[in-house]
Parts: sequence; structure tokens; C-alpha cells
Amino acid sequence: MGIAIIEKLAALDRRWIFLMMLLAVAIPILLKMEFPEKPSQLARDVFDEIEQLKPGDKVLMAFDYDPSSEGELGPMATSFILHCANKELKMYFLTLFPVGPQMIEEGISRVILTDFPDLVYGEDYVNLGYKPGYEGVIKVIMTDLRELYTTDARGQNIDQIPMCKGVESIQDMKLIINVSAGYPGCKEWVQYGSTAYPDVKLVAGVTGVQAPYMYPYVPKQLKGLLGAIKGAAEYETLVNEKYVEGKPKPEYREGVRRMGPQLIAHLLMIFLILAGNVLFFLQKRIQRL
Amino acid sequence: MKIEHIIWSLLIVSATLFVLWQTTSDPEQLAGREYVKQVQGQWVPADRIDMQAGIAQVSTPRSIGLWVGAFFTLFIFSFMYRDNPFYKTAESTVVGVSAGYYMVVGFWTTIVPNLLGKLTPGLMQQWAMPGISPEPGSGAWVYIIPLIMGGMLLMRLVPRASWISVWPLAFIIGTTAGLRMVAFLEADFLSQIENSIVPFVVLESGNVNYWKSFENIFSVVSILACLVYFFFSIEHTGTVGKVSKFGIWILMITFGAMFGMTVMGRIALLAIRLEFLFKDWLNLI
Amino acid sequence: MKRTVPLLIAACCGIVLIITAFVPSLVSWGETATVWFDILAAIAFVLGGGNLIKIHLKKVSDRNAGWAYSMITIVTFLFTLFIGMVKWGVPPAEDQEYFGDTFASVSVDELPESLSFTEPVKLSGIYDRDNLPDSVKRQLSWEQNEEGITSLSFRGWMQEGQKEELLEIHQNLQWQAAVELLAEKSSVPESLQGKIAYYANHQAISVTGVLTEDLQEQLLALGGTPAWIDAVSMLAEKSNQQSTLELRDIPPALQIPEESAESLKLQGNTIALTGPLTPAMSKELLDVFPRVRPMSTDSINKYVAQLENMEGGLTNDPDGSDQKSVLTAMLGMSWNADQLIVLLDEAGKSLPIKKTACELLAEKQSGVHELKTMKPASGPDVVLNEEQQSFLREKVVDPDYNLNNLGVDLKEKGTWIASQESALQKFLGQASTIGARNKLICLSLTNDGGGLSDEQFAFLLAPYRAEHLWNQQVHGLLVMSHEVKYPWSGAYLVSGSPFWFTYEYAFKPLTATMFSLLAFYVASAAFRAFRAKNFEAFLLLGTAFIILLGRTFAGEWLSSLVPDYLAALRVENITSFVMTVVNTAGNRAIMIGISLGIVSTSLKILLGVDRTYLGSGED
Repeated sequence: MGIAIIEKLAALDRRWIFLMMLLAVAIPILLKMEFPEKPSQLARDVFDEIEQLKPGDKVLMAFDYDPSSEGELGPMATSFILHCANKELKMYFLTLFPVGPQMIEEGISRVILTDFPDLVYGEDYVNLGYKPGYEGVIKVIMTDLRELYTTDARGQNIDQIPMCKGVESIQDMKLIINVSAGYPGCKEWVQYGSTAYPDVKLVAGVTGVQAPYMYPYVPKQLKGLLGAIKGAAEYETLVNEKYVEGKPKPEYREGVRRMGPQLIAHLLMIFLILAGNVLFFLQKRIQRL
Repeated sequence: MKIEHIIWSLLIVSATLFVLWQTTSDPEQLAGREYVKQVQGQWVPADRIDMQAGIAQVSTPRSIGLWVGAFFTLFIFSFMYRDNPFYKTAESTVVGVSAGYYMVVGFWTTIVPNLLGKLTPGLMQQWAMPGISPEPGSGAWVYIIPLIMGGMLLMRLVPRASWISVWPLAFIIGTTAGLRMVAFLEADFLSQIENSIVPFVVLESGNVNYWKSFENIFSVVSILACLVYFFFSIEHTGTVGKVSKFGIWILMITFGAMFGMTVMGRIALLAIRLEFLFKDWLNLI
Repeated sequence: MKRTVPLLIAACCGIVLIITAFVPSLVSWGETATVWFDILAAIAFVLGGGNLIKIHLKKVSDRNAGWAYSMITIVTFLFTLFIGMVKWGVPPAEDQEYFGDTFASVSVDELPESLSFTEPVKLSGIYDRDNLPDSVKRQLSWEQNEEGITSLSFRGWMQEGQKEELLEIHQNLQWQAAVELLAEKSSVPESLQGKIAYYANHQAISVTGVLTEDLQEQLLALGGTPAWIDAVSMLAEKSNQQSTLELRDIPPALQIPEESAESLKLQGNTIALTGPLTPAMSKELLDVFPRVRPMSTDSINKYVAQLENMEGGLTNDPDGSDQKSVLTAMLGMSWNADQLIVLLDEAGKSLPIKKTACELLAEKQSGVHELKTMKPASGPDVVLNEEQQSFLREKVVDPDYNLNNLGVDLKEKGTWIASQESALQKFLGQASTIGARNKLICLSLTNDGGGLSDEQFAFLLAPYRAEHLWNQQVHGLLVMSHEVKYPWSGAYLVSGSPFWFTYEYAFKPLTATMFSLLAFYVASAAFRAFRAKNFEAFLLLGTAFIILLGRTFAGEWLSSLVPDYLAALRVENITSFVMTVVNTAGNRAIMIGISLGIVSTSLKILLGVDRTYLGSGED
């Protein structure tokens, strides 16, 4: 009897596991489970790096992601814009992902258009848009921005944009803020940006998949790193604590909110690994008998 | 098989009823609808205050879009149960739409401003980019080369002439190789060696920081052990074998960390889709 | 040849790029190669689309299994491509449309002779036409002999932006002084200033607002070619077109500004407009709503009480929802008299003035060695006196006082200069309107789960609604009276266009959901594939456990059970050690290995050892 159950469980249809996963993520979302966040050192490094900039400093917002990784990176992008807008930095958005311009426009409308209506397009922030040359784009704009970017994403001549006057290359930026979903992304910004030009400072928010690969670059080539939704939640907490009075809007709490389903799903994963192993060893023992 | 059909029919019917009920009876009137307001002649999403102020209105095209998006999401999820025509339809759509999307993006972001805009600035200025100068810049004629190479690349579509597409391909590969060689050497080889040269005894205001010192020693030893493991030209026996064994352990821990982080990322991707269904579509939370 | 040429191309490009990394002066070669690479990458998207169509068309024509799905792919591909390429439903880019201006085309050559301005100069040195800014290339010419440039000529009126660009290209006083003189000569005559302009890039003469008969005569008096005369009469005709709009809910404070009384007439609910609505007129029309101004504590309390007495009331729980304090705080959060005083004093400061290049050149020629670029301030600083300050403090919180009279009243009480007046007007114009503020109040009051009754909403949001409706109508008038100049100039991804719809409701949900499926598979793999068969596998699983716990609140919760003297064993500390020390070490070793691999592969390609990319060479 016991043996039969073990065999049956070991051969469990994977669709039951799919269902468990669905419930583990769905239920916390429906119940709005939230947990407090304690920022780690790397998230603090990112925060401090932006914090020490002065109003009017130029920052490059390189948003290299698309809808397929928005779940992890969207909250980071939102917090980055919120932080920079509060610090009154000049934001230059660009992207190496074809769908990136949409991500940038969404970020702009989520934060700047709703909460910072005084910021003027072309004077306080500009969307330079997308170029398809992968790492080649970084290589070129590190020395000459206009070689590739003759217009912004909206088709306006770059020379007519007030905040682009006097910007020769990305080396004029005080900081590069990268949100990266893969290739081309953080690794390329490190290789062609902060390594080739050590004066250029770089912080990044990356997906969980990429994060482990980026650790060797910290802290020399990469000043701070946010990994996966956890990094997003930590950084978001830091920004909200300092700059948002009262309870932040739901749009500014996405990272923390997504940590609820994350916790339950992680527990499920641990349970699944344990269960798989227990069943495996029980099966082995049965075979030996 | 029959029972399965019945169960699924029941599930689908009850889900449909629930969705309809939620859409019609939602007290906030948000489920299944998208609201817009007009700002500067453009329709933009309206928030709940705009609704209270009476300046928001339900946008029929966007609401239809919302339902299309929700159904596409469900179609893809349906693959979890088994392959089916709905999933296949969604899959074919994503292939078609994204190929079209990328082509449009490539055209308007690069081919128009960076290629045609250099070769025929006058035409581009009158047609699509009024901001640029209609005067050709000095040396703009060299852009004829990428234009020709682009044409050669497209020859790949013609079986008989496809050999010519190897030329631009060689350009692409040569450029990539040249770019990468320097970058990897600098950032991933030399810099990583430099990053690894750390003090074994860390002094903090005259005192030894034992923990930091241990971390530094441990990390250097680990890197060396891993490199020994990668070094296949010597046999992994004796001391070398033991060191490389330690290297394997370090790599295993690294892979474990990678696995953990990967899991983390995947779940967030699922969370945002469920948020879309529960919040944007059905307004349940 | 089929194989040698590509090998040579690859080797040359790669080696050039490697060399440029070491020789900074050759950096532009590398840039050029990379820009071409960028263009080819864009063309590769076209290739991708072409390939897709080719494969799926074949499937359809062969009636292979699943050809109907191929059909879907083809249709959705063509549809997306079409709406994106023709920019269907994309409005023209507003910042490129020169609202309020009417264009009539006339090329640089067709301008009347009286619009050729020549300045005799003496410029020694080398000046290259290729270095000129693009914006002036059509209009600027010069005469040259062995000693240098002898005269500069400009066709059409020079614009401020053109002048600045010209000044910037050569940082020498001779050139800059010559440009200043030329700009002076070729500026728009005073009687036409602000009304007429010539845009060489658009090959158009432009009028702001209506081209009156007087202006028309002045333009014709400049003489000219038939094309010029045609253009002027075209301008007159186009800029005198009538448009009428039926208005509703006209704001009570609306008054047609005097300057626009000629072209803008309001009769009952109908507004009649001659010519285009200029941005200045539209700004005047929009500025008819009261703006936020400082409130005294009394008036704040009165406002709060008014809202509290309405149906629904206001919550006032210091530990929970506290609408009353939020409202009080928000009403108090406006600008105050002190800020305004600081600003006006700042505006009254007399600043040093930058010398023109002509002045500097004259100084240099007169033998001054150390040139100073700034002239000392011309007069003493103007600050508000005691009386003005106390008057200002008193009046800004007086709700019956019209702040627009502030300048006039302050002038009676002391010194008051034009720069202060303009700073004052700018400041008052930047304050948010009552409607915008009330919307924020509503958002804040309802943010924390608190609610407002319909009556309260109606009270707070009435100004917001009125402003919104009026803005919409004025914008309607702006668009109605405007003639589109560049219909294709809008951005392809603009929100609300069919292309955007395809993105928002098909591309985005589909790709995002596709990737979210990975969450399910990773769970299934965890159950089936991760077995601690040996010590190495155990290490991997153990680390995964720690990371999974340590990167959530569960880790923190578990850690709270660990006593302080074992702090190093806390899950988050172990996680941090694993990530920053072990993971870094492991990945660094992998990185070093991979980088050597990449370097050797690249070398093989560049030296022609690796020829796999050439294919078999048979097809």
C-alpha cells in the first residue's frame, strides 16, 4: 500500500505541480500579502550612488528590457525614475532593446507625467530611444553620441533639444543607471562603458538570472547592483522612505507587493525539492528491498 | 476521458459566468473596462478621481483590447494543460506580431534617421523628420556602403544569390570579433585578475579585521581552485585532484546560487501576469 | 573570390577595431564601422521578416500540417508591419508643427535681393565650409582671396539659434565679431519682429498669427521675385482663414485679451477666429482659473470645516486614517510670502553683463592684454523695502486681493523694476490651479482606504472638471485653426495609434505570458530533476535552499530565532556570504575562462582559421 502511494506520488502528473505553482502565486496576490523589507548593502550602494548626485547632474537611464521581464524590472525602473526626479537630475533615457522605447514611455507616464508634471520634455528628461547595434551602440556613444543618435525617439532633431546641447558623449554623464534583462545589457555596459572609461560610474538593476554573473564586477566596474525582484523591493523601500510622504501609491509599491507571492512560491519550491528527494530515496530503498 | 470533458466544461462555464458577473456587478465599474480622458487632444488613461469628476469615459476600443489581452494570456496559460488550438493561435500571433514589430522599429529608428537621413536628408526632412537639416553632411556618401551591404544581406532571401550575403555577414562577424576581443580581454580577464588581488590581512584602524581577511583569502583560494579545475592539460590526481575537487565544490555552490536567483526571477514574471488578470481585467484586488 | 573576399572583410574590420582600441586618434574609424554595424543590424530585422514570410508562405502553399496557423502568422505580421510603416493614426509631432505659424514655401534662391546681407570683413586663417553648422549652410556664403575671407553674405533673416551656432564653431574673436555684425545686419526689421521669420530648412517664410495688410505691404515692399510675391499672397490667404467653434461651459472669468481682439471674437457661445490660434493666445485663453495662493490658518480651518460638515465627514484617527490632518497639511502646502520676497530680491539683483565679441575685439585691438569677458553690473541691486515687504505679506493671504495688481501696488511703495515684474508674473503663472490641487487632495484623502462622499467629491472636483473641459476646448480650437505641415512626423509608437494597440493588447500580453510559463517549468524541474545523489549535488541544492529562503522575508523571520552571538549563521548573512564571496569567486573563475575562449575564437575568425560562418559554400 505504502509502496503504491510512493510510486504514484513519484509519477505525479506535472500538471498538479503547475497548479500548485499557480495557486502559490495567485493566492498571495489576491490576499494582498505584504512583508517588510530590510535593504541589503548592495541596494544601499545603488541608493547612495544616486543620492550623492547634485540637482541638475546628468544621468543616463539605460533601460534595456521588454515586457517579458517587466515583472522583475518594472519596479526598479519606476523607483529609479522616482529617485532621479526627486533629486532633480537630468534624465537621458535610451535602450538597446527593440521594445525598450515603450518601457521608457510607460515609466515616464507612470512617474513623471503623473507626479512631476512640472518637468519639461527636452529640458529635464529626454527619450533618445532605441538603436539596434547591440554593444556597438555603447561603443559609439561612449565617444560620440550624435554619430548614432541624430534624433530622439519622437523624431526631433537632437540639436534642437535643449538638454542635449553640450552633451558630446556618454562620458558627460555623472552616472549610468542601467536596468537590464540580458543581452545587450549590464554586461555590455560594464565592458564597453565603465571598464573602458573608468571615470564613468555605473549602477544596475538586473534580472535574477543575470545577477550572479554580475557580482564579480562589483564594486570596481559596477558601483551597485539590484538583483531580481528582491533588489527592486529593497531599493523601492529606500526611495519611498526618503521621498514619499505617507503611504506610497500602489505603483510605487510593486516590488514590495510582488515579494508576497515570491515568499510563498519559494516555500513551495523548497517543498517540491524536498519532496522530490524524499520520494527518490524512498524509491531507491524500495528497489533495494 | 468523458469525465475530463465534463469537468472542463463545468470549469469553463463557471469561470465565464464569474467573469461576466464580476464585469457587470463590479461596484467600482472597473472590471473589464478601460477609462480614458482627453488631454491635449490625446486619449490617456483616466484614474478614479477623473471618474469621480465625470471627465473620464469608457473607451470601447481599449476595453476590447483589454479583453483580447486577457484572452491571449489565458490562451498561453492553457498550454500548461496540454497543447491546443487556442495556444497555437496565440503562438502564431506572437510570432507574426513581433516580427512585424521589430521590422517597424528597425525602419523608423535606424533605417530612416541613420541611413536614408544621411543619404537623402532633403527628402527625409520633408517627409518624416522635419527637424533635421536638409543639407547633406560632408562625407555622407560613405553611407552608400552600408546601403549596398544591406542589399547584399537581403540577397539571402534569394537562393541563387545567397552567397553574396556572406560578405556583409563577414563584416558583422569581423566587427563583433574585433569589438569583443578587446572588451572581454579588458573587462573579463585583466580586470577580474585585478579585482582578485586583495590584501590577505585587512587592517581597520590598526586592528586586524579577521572576518574580512578570511573572506579575501577564501575568495582568492576559491578562484585559484576553480581555475585549476578548468585546467584540463594536467591530470587531476594527487594535490591537483584535491584542489580541483574544492574548485568543483565552489562551482556547485555558485550554480546553486544561480539556480536560486533564476527561480526568483521566473516567479516575478508570473506574478505580473496574474496581477494583470486580477487587477487590470477583473478588478478583484 | 567567393571565400577570399569575406575572409578579408572580416579580418580588416576586426583588426581595425582592435587597433582603434589602442590608438585614440583612430577612434572615428571604429565609430564608422560600428555605425554601419548598427544599420546592418536594423536591416537584419527586415531579413528576419522576409524569412518568416518565406517559410510560412511555403507552408501555406504546400498545405502542410498546421498551415492555418501559418496563415495567422502571415496576416498578423503584414498587419503589424503595415500599420507601423504607414504610421496609421499617428498624429503629427506637435513640437515640429510650429503652432500659430503659417508657412508659405519660398526657397533661398527665390528670396528678394534686398534680403541678401553682406558684411565686409577681414578674416585671416583657414575656414572650411564643411565645418559650418547645417542650419546655415544654405544661407551663408563668403568671398575669399589669398589673405582670407573678405566678406560674409547671408540670404534671409538670421535667427538667434543660427547666430549662436555660428558663434560656437570658431572660438576666435575675429570670427565671432564678424558673425555678430552680420547677425545685426541680417536681423528681422523691427516692424516685423516676432511676426515674420524665414526658415531655410523648411524653405518657408512664416507669419505668426494673421498676416495683416500692413505686414503684407511691408513684405511686398522688400521687392522680389514672382515666387516671393506668390508666397506673400499665399501667406495672406492662409493666415486669414476663418474658423468658428461652439463653446460650452465658458469660464466666467474669460476675457478676450486686448492683443488678440482683432482675430478672436466671442459672440454668445460661439467663438470666431481669424487665422491660427497662436500658443501665446492659447496661453492667455487658458489662464482664466484661480491659482493656489497662501491661505491663512483661519481660511484653512474654514475650508476643512466646510468639507467635514458635508455628508460623509472626514476621518480623524491619529493612528489610522486621518483625512482631516492630511487635508489641513495639503491646504497649507502652497508657496508663501517669504519665498516670493526672496525671489523678487533675486530678480532685482543687477548682474554683470557678458561683453559682445565686437567689444572684446575692440579692447584687444586697443592693446588690453588680459581680456575680461564680463562687464560689471550697471546699477545697484534692487531689494524690496520694509513697506513693500509688509504689504506683500499682508496681501498674499487676503483672499479678496487680486494678486495681478501686486506689481502696480508695490511700485507705489518703492522701487520696482521690469525684471522683478516679469519674475513676479512668472512665479504667479507657475502656481498650480485650484483644480489641479483639489485633484491631488482627492487622491491623498482616498489613498489610504479612506473614502469621500459624492457631495464632497463634487465640491472638491468641480474646479478640476471645469478646467479640464475648458483645456480640451481650447486645444480643439488650436488644432482646428491649424494647418498640418508635416503629417508623417509623429513617433511610430505614440500611444493610442493602431500600432500601439497591437503592442499593448497583443505583443505585450503574449510575450510576457510566454516567459511567465517558465515559472511552472522550473517548479516541475525542481520536483523531478534535482536529486541530492552525491555531495556536489547536495551542495548545489543546499545553496539553492539558502538563497530561496534568504532572499525573502522567510529568511529574516528564521533569523530572528538565531541568538545574537551566532549572528554569522543568520540566513541573510549566509546568503550574503554565498553571493558576494563564493558566487563571486566561482563566477570570476568562469568569467576568466570564458574571456580566454572569446579571445581565442575572435583571433581564429580574424586570422581566417575559423571559417564556419562562410557556410559550406555550396548554396
